[in-house]
Amino acid sequence: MCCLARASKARGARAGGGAAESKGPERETLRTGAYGYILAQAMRNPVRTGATIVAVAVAVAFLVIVASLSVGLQDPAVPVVLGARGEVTPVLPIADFAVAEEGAYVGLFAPRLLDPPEVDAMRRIAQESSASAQDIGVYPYTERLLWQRQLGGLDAQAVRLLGVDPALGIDTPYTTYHTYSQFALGGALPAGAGPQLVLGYALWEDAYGSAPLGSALALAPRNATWLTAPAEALRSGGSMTVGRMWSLSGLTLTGVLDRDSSTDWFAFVTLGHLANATGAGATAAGPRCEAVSVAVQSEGIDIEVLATDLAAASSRVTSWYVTTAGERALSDVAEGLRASIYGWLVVAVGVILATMLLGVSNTVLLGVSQRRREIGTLRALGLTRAEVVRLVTYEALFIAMMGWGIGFLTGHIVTSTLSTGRLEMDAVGVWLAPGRTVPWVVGASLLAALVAALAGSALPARRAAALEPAEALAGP
Amino acid sequence: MRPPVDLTGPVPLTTWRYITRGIARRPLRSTLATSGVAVVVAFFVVFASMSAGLHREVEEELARPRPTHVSMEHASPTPYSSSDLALIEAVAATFMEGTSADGVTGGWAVDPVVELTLSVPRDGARAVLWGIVPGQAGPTIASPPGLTPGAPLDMGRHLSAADDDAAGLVCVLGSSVRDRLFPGVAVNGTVALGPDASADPWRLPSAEAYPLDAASAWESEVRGPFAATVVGLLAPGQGGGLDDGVFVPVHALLRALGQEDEGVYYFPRLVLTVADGTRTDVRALGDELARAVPPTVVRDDGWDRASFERTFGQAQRALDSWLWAVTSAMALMLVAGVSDTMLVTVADRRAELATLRATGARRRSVSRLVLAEVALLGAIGLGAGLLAGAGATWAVDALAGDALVAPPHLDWWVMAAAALIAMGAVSVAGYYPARRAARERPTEALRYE
Amino acid sequence: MSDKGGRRDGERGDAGDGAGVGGREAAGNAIVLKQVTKAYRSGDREVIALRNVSLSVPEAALAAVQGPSGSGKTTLLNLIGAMDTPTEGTVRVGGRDLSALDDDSLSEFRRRNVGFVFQFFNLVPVLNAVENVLLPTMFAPEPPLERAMGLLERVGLRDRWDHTPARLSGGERQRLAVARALINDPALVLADEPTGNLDHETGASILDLLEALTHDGRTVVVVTHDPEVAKRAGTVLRLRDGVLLGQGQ
Repeated sequence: MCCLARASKARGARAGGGAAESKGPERETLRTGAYGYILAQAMRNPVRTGATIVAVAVAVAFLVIVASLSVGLQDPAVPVVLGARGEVTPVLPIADFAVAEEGAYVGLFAPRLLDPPEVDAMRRIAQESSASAQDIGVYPYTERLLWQRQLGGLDAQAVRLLGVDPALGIDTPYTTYHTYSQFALGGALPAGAGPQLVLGYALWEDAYGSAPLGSALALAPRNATWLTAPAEALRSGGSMTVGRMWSLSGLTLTGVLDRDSSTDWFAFVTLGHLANATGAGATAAGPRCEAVSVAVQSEGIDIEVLATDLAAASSRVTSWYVTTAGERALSDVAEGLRASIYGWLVVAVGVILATMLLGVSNTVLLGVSQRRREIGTLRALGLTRAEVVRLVTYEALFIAMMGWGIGFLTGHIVTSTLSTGRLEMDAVGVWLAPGRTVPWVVGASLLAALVAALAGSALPARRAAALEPAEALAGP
Repeated sequence: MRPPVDLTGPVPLTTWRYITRGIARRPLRSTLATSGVAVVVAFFVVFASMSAGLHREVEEELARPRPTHVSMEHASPTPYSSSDLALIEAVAATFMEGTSADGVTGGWAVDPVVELTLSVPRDGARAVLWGIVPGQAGPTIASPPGLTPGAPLDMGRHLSAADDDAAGLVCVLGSSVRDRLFPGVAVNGTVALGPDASADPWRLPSAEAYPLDAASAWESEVRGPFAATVVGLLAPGQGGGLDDGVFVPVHALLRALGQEDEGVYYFPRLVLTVADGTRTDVRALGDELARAVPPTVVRDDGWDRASFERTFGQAQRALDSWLWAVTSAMALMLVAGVSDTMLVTVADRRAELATLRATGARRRSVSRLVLAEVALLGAIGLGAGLLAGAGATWAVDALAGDALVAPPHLDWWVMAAAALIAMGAVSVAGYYPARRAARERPTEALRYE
Repeated sequence: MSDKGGRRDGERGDAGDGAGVGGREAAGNAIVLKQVTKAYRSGDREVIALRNVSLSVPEAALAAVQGPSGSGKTTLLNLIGAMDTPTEGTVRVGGRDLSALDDDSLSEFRRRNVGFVFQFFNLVPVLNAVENVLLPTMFAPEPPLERAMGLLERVGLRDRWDHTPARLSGGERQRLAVARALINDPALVLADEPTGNLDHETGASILDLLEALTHDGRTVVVVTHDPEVAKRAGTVLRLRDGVLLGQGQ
């Protein structure tokens, strides 16, 4: 308002002169105060300022990407690189791999078949060893290898049939089936010894062409490319074995499980039906089984002792093994992969910080060096040393914050674009982990930028503060 | 006014004093510049070493000869016969000849194999009876390494071809089997090879009786025991397969098992061994063999070279591309920073440089002076960076080397490349300031006196 | 950070305004120096810039400090302008004993009571005229915009408030510098060779401007080696080799 009034007064005063009228300045557009000063100074050498901002932005973007990747890699599902150094099978997609963090399994085998009372005896032994019934599950079953998809090599895929107790389901280290499992179609096996069939998703899709529920399906040897594989028995049967070929037919499709690598290539029938069909038979108490899987959740149980006790429960148990979840979770190389990624992360972060620090420090220092006279002038005009330090620090903070803003945005966008949700060793390599920009990444990157600004400007600020007002009197 | 250094003639050694003093005059500025170079160099050294290490590992793996085995098992109740063996040998021979151009290194052989379990696998300790062809590497698929003629013996000798034709059975015992099942036996002693005598008769020697097949329900039978004369005892500590094994000549065993009929032998399993199967398309070979004598199930421990190259090639490319991308970005920033610094330094020394020119120094000498200073800064930074980088590489190797997929390898090439990058960046950075310095006019020196 | 020497602990300034040089009545003296010596360390030598100088400058006077290069005029300016403290002696400006002040207090004093005009203008090239005028108020809560515009008007640059120094002539730049010097309404204005970079005519107009400031009641001290400038001053202080030769008209 006042400016306008003054302007009109001026106009009035110079009416005769015909001078060009100038509108007065607006407070908001003026670069006053410390902020305006550093803004103007930044524009003074736009190349230098711009280059430093870009450097900080690149560093922050890299930090954000790398941090987000590390968050992604830490997801509970861990990449498993099977085999030792040099013999590598393709990395499996993380999302498909569910890893049990605790627990162990005992598997017991009796080719001469176990009767239900013996299974009950095992169940009693198991429950005695544990404080809580929830900690231990005892699952009788019979397993058959149906066929192998390929002839050996790395893509071999075994298709297996499991006869399970429909009420209990099954829990083994490599597959689980429960009445409460997730089904894509239909539901679990009904109780009893009926000819129902539950298929894993991939098997259903691939071998049975996504047949609808209620279809009558058979399990039998297929054409030449789907060879039957009695090999396991032959190889280690312990004797020269003689075999018979048979097939299960007339099974009704009751359910199809959701996609899950632990059930994809499995078929489940009731134990009773399988026992009848293969002549294993049943007793009055129930169907016989060839194996029992004991799943132990609690860590307080001595698994080796339990296994020995269980095996002793029946004279027909010929072999048993123990698996702890830890063995499944990570192979050495997978752990190594994780360790190396962490190692690289630390190195990368260190380098990033150093780059930021050096970049900001250099720019600020050069600025101070080139503005000795100006800083001296400011001092002469009455700015204290502390205020000069503030100015230099603000300048560094300005660069750092601009850089952080751009860098963070860029990093976030890049992470979102690149992360496909799967960890794959494909063209861009293992670096495409499912990244998530979580709050701590924001904080960490911001902190890094701030530290770089403050640390980088510390010495130059001291230099600037040490300048005497007399510098203002120096020549160019 | 005396010039700080005399550049009228050829550039003398005293310029180095000028340059070093110039650098020392501005400790903070110089430190920042050299640190920048050092950081870039150190970073490059560490990551390039990792890349070099991976590269080396891949090369080694690709070059390593691998004995490869293809195991064929008859999927019908009727085992293979000798004529099947001949057929399979013929198929294999044709295949190998066809691919020999690609380098099937060394020889190959097809041998019958018999595997019987002697005792119950409790606590992981099995005892397996192997019928093998004397002098050939034994079966290895899904079993421990085979018995090579060179395996160390405690006593006695290995099996020989003559044993194969002998009337009675001879055997070589692994150390663990001997200790557990036949304690105290010596060479020329006799052992009974059959199911564990101390075991419950109901306990079948079934080893991996699980998993049983679906398409056929197998009934297990017990064979033996067979009496055998011990001719050799293996030294201990050779790995599970050899320690837990009892090795007899296969044809003799087949005869003892009644699987020989008028010179024709019947056996359930064949193993084709290729001395170096690195370049053999094992899968194709397996397919052909399976087709030759159906129904045959083939399993191989062939090394999928293509998959390996794909996986590690991709990892290598990923690492390399990141390395070069980040290094380039950092080098650019370094060039910008050093260039900026030198420009300010040149501006600071305007009077000095102009004086040099006023006293007769050539333009080129002045610009060389600036370049030399930049080069010295770069060299110092390079040295520091190489040290730091080497140290960091060593630290990474020491701390995490075992865990890494491939340990970092500090190559001379890496150091040379780092030097090239550092000096290159620094030279580019110094170009413009040097030109600026050379353009200084002599009159500038006198302006504000 | 050179010597803060000269401040002797426990010494208080004069109770009154201190006797001026030559026994003149103290009241009305803007600046009083009493036996001031200033020594520097240059390399490993000690340089005595001012030797036992005593002088006084009356209020609202236009004083000139004259002398050849190296005579200590710049040093004298530093001391008067509260930019430095003497090794020995006292410096009183506006009644305040500057030698007793610490660094921050000196800065504060400068901000409020002293305006500077430099030989090379020392304007910030990236700011426009009014922003340059407001520079000393950088850390003030509210920039006194109206006052700045008023000062620009006074020095005749109101129309060019949005010009950067690059778009101003030499004389205009110095006038802008004067406006800047006045933003905090100082009682003392110090000018170091204000006409040194200007041609004769422009320089004269600047001197006119400076002289006009004394009519506000401000004391103006001009350091110069130009005798023409000295002629216009009411008080002339002649220095040579750090010694005050004389104070006269």
